[in-house]
Amino acid sequence: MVNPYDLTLVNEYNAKEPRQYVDRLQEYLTRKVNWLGKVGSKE
Amino acid sequence: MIIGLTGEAVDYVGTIQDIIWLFFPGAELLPNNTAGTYIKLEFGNEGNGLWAEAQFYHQGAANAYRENGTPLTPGEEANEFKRLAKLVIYLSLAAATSQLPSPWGIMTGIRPTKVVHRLLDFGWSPEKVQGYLVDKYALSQDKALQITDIAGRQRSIILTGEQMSRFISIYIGIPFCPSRCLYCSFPSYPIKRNKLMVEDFFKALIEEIKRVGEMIKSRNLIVQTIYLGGGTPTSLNLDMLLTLMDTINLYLKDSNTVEFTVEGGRPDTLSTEVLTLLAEAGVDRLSINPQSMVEKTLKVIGRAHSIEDIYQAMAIARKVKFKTINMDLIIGLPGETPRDVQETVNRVIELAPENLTIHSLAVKRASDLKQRLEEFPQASAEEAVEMWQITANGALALGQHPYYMYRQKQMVGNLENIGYTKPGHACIYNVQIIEERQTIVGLGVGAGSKWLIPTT
Repeated sequence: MVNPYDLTLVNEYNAKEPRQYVDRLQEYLTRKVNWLGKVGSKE
Repeated sequence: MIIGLTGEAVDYVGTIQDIIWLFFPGAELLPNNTAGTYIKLEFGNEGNGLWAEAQFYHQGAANAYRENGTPLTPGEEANEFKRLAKLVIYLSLAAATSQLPSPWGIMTGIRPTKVVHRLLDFGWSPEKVQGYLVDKYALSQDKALQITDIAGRQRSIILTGEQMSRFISIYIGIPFCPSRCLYCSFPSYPIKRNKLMVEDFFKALIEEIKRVGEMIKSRNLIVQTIYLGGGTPTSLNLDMLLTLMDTINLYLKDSNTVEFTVEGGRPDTLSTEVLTLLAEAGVDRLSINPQSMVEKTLKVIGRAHSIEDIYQAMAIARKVKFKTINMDLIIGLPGETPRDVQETVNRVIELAPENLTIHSLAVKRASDLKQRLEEFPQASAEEAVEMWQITANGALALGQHPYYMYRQKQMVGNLENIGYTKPGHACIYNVQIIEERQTIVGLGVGAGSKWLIPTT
């Protein structure tokens, strides 16, 4: 049984400027793939 | 005005400054200073619990207030001291100034309903929750009832712990608009002047959707809702919109996706072709956001469309048939009076959207309005409250009830943003993002992600 209060909330943001977003896309992808690997995981 | 701080008030300045500013907006807070007006704060932890006492020295008089407290669960003493600090300062300043400046009492945070959910999770009755909010947070009876009612309606939507580990939502940010509105603080670039940037952004966005979509599928996560916002997503050309919809449907949407919202905020972007494309792609909630239905206001806030455009967009949207249409309105727009808001609400009632979202104007640093405040005086707090009531009456006339709310700093009249819905049309995404009980993956420019990760 997962308790909602045992989950930690982490807020992250993509760049607000389109050119920066394009330039940093690979960084965002790496981070998102990493975080998605942890969603729901109990290890 | 200068207000000195002494005792524990020095270390707790970050906690208490918003409370002090409710009574003395923008006052300069000087630590370790008792030369003139000042606040002394003391804490203690004795046999039967915690206590805090505030003393406010002002114009030769002193007002003191003391309160005892008990943490909701063991280990939460630090949070309880913060609540006590806010409460005793609020009540001592209220006594000294003979005013209660906010119906929200010491709840200065963005998401008051999160507190209600926590208390309901303890098994408390709504009546017990309301009493706690009035006693421990100095909320008005009306606000305590309002947020308990909203949270109660949300209970069937917010996720259990098990669901939180499987269900996610997606936000996609498109940072382009036909023009930038005066009050806007979001990433928004005029689309016609940024053609090359649009193309580069679009390629990157499609790549981000594909890679994230593949990962979501490989983890067997369920995409419950998708929200395409901005900016104005419908300012993209038809080819781009078609590619975007196809990519979303292939990589993100699955058979368990129950809601797909697109913000078509600007009615001048909502042609029959665009709306038909969206509906055929499975979009079931469309947001048409006039903000005001008063022609002179549309001009002042920099919108390049007329009221007639809003009527036309709504007529097309109804013909194309979306399950839910939302309309956003802002109260406190430059130059508007309660009479203008009444005119807007009357017109919106004619259009009969299923959702109505009311924002109280908050002047943000990133907005053009912030730089031009002298040209556009703000509505008074009393006018803002009157406008808020007009919109609430309008929602009632449409058969809608409030279903989510959040607050922001610098809101005119110290009010809140509130979403109303007809029964059966609540936007699940809006509830999830405000209550923060679901992982939201943000894609595109300025998109925020909320990761809910098991604590190790």
